[in-house]
Amino acid sequence: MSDAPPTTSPPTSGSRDGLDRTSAIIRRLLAEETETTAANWRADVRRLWHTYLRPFRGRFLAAAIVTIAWSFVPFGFALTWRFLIDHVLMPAHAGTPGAGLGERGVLLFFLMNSGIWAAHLACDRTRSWLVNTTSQNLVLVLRRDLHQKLAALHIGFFDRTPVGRLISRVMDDVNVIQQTAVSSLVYITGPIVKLVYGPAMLLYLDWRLAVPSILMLPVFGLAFLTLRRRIQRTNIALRRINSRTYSRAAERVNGVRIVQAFTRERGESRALAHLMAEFVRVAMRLVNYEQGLGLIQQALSAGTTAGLLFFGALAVRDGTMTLGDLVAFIGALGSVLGPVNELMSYCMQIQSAQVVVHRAFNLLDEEVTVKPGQISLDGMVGAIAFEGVTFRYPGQKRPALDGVSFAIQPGEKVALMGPSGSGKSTIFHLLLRFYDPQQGAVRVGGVDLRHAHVNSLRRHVCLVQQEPMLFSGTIAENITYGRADALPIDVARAAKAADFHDFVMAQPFFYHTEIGEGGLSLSGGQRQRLALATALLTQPEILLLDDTTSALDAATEARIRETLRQVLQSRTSLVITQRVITARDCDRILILERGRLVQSGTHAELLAQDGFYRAICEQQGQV
Amino acid sequence: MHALKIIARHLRPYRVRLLLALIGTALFTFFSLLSPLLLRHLFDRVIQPGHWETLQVTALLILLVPLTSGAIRFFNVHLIMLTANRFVSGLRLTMYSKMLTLGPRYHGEHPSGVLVGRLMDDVNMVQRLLTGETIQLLVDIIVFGFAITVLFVLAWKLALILSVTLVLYVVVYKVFAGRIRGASQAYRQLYDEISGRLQETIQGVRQVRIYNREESENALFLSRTESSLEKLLISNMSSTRLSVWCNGIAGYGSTVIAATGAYLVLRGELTYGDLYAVDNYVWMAVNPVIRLTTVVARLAETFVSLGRIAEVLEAAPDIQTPPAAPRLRRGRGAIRFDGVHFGYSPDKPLFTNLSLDIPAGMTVALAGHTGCGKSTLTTLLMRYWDVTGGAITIDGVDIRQVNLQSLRARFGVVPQQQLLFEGTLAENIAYGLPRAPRPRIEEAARLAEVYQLAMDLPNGFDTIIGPAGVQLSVGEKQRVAIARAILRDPMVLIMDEATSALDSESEALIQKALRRIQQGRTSLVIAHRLSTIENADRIVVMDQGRIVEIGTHTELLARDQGLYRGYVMQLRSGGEPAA
Repeated sequence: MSDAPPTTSPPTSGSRDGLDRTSAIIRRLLAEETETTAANWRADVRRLWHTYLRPFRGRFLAAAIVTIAWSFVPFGFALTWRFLIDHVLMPAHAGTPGAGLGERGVLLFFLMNSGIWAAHLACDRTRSWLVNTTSQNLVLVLRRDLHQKLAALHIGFFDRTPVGRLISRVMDDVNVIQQTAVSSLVYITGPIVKLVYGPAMLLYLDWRLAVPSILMLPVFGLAFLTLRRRIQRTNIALRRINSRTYSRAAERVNGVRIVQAFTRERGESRALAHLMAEFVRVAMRLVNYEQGLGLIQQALSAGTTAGLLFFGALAVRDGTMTLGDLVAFIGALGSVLGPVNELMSYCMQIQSAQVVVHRAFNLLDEEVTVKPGQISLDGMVGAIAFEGVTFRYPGQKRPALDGVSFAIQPGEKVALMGPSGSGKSTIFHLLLRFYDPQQGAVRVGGVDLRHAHVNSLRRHVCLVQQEPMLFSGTIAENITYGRADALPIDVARAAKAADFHDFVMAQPFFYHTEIGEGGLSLSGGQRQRLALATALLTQPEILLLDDTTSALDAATEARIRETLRQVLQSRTSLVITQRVITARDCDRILILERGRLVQSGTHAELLAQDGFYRAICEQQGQV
Repeated sequence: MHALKIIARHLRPYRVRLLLALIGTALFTFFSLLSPLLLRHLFDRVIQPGHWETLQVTALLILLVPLTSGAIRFFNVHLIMLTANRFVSGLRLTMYSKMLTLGPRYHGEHPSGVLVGRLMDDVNMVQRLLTGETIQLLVDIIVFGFAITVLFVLAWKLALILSVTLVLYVVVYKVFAGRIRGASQAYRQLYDEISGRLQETIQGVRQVRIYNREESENALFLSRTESSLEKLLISNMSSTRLSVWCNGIAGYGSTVIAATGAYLVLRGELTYGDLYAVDNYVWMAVNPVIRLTTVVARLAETFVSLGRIAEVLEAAPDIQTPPAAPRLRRGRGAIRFDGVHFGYSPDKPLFTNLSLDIPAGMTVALAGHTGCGKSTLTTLLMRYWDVTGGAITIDGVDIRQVNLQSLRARFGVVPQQQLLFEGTLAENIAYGLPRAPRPRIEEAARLAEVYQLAMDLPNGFDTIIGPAGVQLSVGEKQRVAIARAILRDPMVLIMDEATSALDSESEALIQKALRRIQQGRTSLVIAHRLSTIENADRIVVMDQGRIVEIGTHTELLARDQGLYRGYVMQLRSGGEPAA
């Protein structure tokens, strides 16, 4: 392609206009979706604690104690150095009687420092083990609960929630919790303790220098607090730009044929360039905030240190302080200013964990709208009745089914036909109780499905979807998906009935051939036949076929029709089809239009009437 | 290394900024290294000898040096980040534009997930390389060099002890690195497996429910998660052990150095100020070495990413157009395949010397079994592939001699797989003509039987469709795709099995509409339904890359031994003869 890609327009940083535009972009991005800000963070924490962390409270306590012990290490070093200077190296300055411990003092210094190091390393190792094992358990239990929730949730939930979002709830979000929740809750005790006893330590070392240094702490914190909210907002905006770029690119690259067919390459590049220009603006805004904060803190810390050294040196001159005191004080100062930043960054980590934890709890709290019934359908015969059923998918204006009533006797073979969107598949969804009707009742074996045990219902009613989902694994694993304990001979019998056996035998490892992720290595017709074999293996009382042979050629379809007739002899079957040839052998044909049952009868009966069926027969040359 | 060269070429426009950034980095690093020396000066030259008159100047320096370093750092980071962000945005855009122009061969070999991964994750790695690793490496080298030099100057004996410590450190790292890598790779693999299965079970949630597999999927997930976390714990604890060892070596090393230094101070070989500075510089020399190992591991990862990026940038387009190719003017749309040779791979030719004339304004149906080359014929016409011999002309112009965009702009395509993009219904219909006025969109919608559908949606034409919005059925998507093609008012209409998923009634409606819009327009229809084929002005029957029969429905049906006759019989007896 000859077009040069459009360049990202440089943000006019510095100018008033540029700054306002960046702010406007951030505001717009934040307004578009409201982050699930934890309205009640305390409730979330309480729940996290009671449900997931309480069993490990011993480890939490131990980790906190270790952390607190650990936070004394810097002060230990400050003290040993003071000892070295005042009692070993420069006893004259100290003016103490037992001056000059000499080489014995050096040895003592060495031993003390080694001891502190040993403690330091032991703390590190112990705390890491405690935190890692605790968060590992948290992750395991949380993931288990989330996965169980997904397994229990209503089908409608999956219609309105993108797959990617659910996966990131269970996987990525929980990773964030693993990396931040436990560790930051434990680690935060360190800076807190340091901030309490650090000032005390400074006061002990020299109260005159300590008072002004301690007064610096709030200034330090204030700089952080003023910028924190802005940094957070900018961060969220940046994440949104990124996820938007991601989903846009994914969609367009996946549909590159369409982009090219409609010659939209340049338009699409321009759209991405626009996103990228916004990305640069917002990213630079974030850099400026973070660097500005760093600069302010560095200036404050440099000022404090220089001032202390100046006045400290004067105190040494006047003999009111030893050099060792001064060195120890400077050392200790670093470990008081440091914790302010530590504390704040743990706070931010906890905040990001908070969003994620809240999202996880939201998913766990999602209501299971289809309430389980108790009546078992085991041993029933396959009678079906729809009694004045009206059903509307959530968010749709028009009902998918509008007062539909019909009854099907055990063993009957019924075809469902009608234009797309007429409600054929919805009948199947209600029969499997993926949804409950708003009005009327669906009965299987005489039992209202709202009172039926869902698992027992699905043991006896089986659906083969038009575009079946296969799982990565072997062919055998997929066929036995509904009956894990099936014998190989049964598997082969089911595959033969679905006209799939010959294909399998032509594969390198027969039934143990891997079919790849989502069964993508199979053609549409092969996938349909595999799905049919899976269904047949479970020997359902009622079999629902949703245009299951649409991707098969006529000869194969005819063969399958024949074997199905034998296999399904005494069983009830409902088949959605576009083909008259399939429908005409059925005991009865139901015609649906816009959610209503408009015609019902045998091939001959319907052909005699004016309507959809006759029109379609004429079209397909079956009159 | 080749990949590095390509990235370097893309970095060229930024070379002045990058140079400035490097100088700035060196400068602020240098300033930040001075503080211990200033303190040494304070202790040895001011406080101990009692030169109080220089105290003010020294204190001022102690204030100014970090301030200067901080200020340089602020502007330097701004410069680096701005350069990196612009470079990365530009790189992403170049890759994206490239991906959108590459042909079906490339996209067939690279699934979209892989390409998007390169566009996002790998480019992020490059950003980290520019803003993180490279700068860190530079800073570390300067700091290490400076610190070790100062150490040797101040106290070479202590510097020797440090060198031994560093050697020990490298040995320990070697021991642990392999163990950590092994465990973390094992974790990564299990994690990917779990994510993959999760995706399948969510996408196939109906399948899971139909077969009552909720419990067993839960159990499988739990056991896999358990073993993945075991691997993670091993990897994390190995990392901890490594860091404990590293800190131990560094800590005891520095303790030995400090004690030895103190002994030297007692012997008068060293001043206290020296010792203070040495203790600070020991850590400045050790930290870069500890970091180096992680930086090196990251660099290795980044090079893999660089290779993948370079592969996209270097991919040769299948289709080449002369730079100053004229635009294809809107004509009558007479298409001619003139002795065309073509095969997807050289050893398997599909077409040898295939010729076909499609007069302007005619509707031609392509019939034949799957794999006979019907679809290939249309992709050649739109120049997704180039013929290997012969020529294709439109109104007498060889399609290789005209601007590619102008060629494709003359077609309206309804492809086999309908793809709608996330956005409103109107945006999707107007995809090929984004500035189309609303009445034209509505008109196209009416023609393709989408209007009623739009009226049933909550916000009409402004309803968001796609994963985050209302989901359309296969047949509905197909009608939207038809509306999209109609809106362009194309010179040539190509429909590739476009109505296969429609139920007969909607197909009949669309057929009526199509007949209207096919008038005065050349159209090529690949259909598996009799109703679609019957109405064509001419039917071309293909078999294994050859044209075997041409004629109208009645003409062809009259031939006793004709392939078409058999084909029609098959259609009559059971729908579509597709594989």
